[in-house]
Amino acid sequence: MNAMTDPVPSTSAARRGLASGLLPLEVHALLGWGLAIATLGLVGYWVPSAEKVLGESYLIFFFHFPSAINCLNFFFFAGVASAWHLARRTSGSDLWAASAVEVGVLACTITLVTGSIWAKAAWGMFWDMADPRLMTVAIMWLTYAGYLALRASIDEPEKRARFSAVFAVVAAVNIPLVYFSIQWFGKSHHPMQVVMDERSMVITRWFGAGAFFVLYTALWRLRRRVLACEREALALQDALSRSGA
Amino acid sequence: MAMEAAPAPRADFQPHIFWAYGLACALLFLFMLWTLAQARRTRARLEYLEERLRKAYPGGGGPGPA
Repeated sequence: MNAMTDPVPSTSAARRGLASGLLPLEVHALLGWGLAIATLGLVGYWVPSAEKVLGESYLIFFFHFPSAINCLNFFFFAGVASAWHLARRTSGSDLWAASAVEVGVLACTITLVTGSIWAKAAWGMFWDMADPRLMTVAIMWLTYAGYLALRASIDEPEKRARFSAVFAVVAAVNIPLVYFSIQWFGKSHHPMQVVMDERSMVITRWFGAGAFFVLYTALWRLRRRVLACEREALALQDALSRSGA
Repeated sequence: MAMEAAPAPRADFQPHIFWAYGLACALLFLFMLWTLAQARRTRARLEYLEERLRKAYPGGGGPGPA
């Protein structure tokens, strides 16, 4: 029975608590935090303290890159889940898409904040309006903030899911625009890539990306659980008001 | 006596690195705390609504699909 029509869905996925799934959510979140802290350990004690082009400021890269790559990942997941929703009309895919966008917006915010701090350290300014990478990321952030505003503005669940899915599929065009912005729109301040000529740098870079991916996926599962609970509460509220209780 | 030229002052990037990492972790941590608080509130609301529905339909039946 659909959660929207079941008045007392006592065994639904939303109620199973944090321990459901292959990996309990508490363990998943703790693992993510542990790996994120381990990344700091690698940055502090393993990688060289300076890089050829950017000097010491390149260390910020190890916190900036994981969020940048994961915000693209989660916006891509949201696009896939939304396309799935449009094809199959399953309510679960809408929740996966919405929670992926929430986590993606968080990762994008962290990317913009750490990027601005890095820009101040490396270029002497927080923002460069002529930099295609900065501007495309800012536009992407605004687009997905718009997605969240759209969801908040529609009360009817099925209409909200359908409109949001179309929005997320169209908004996914931002992903290649951001990724290839420097190749397509020309290079400004932003480096094509930091010169990673040592093994420790490459390993730390991808270890950090993996560590933050684990942490972000834990957040994704948690947000999805909260959205499912909220939807169930609305269904119960609706059932109560229909019954006049 | 010949005087050695003082080395050019180097920018200190430690505060920038500290702030970048600190802000990233603080945002993640606050988001997680906010989500956990929201989960707790929603669960309490669900329990309250279930209890109300149980009282309204003591036999276990419900109002049925809309």
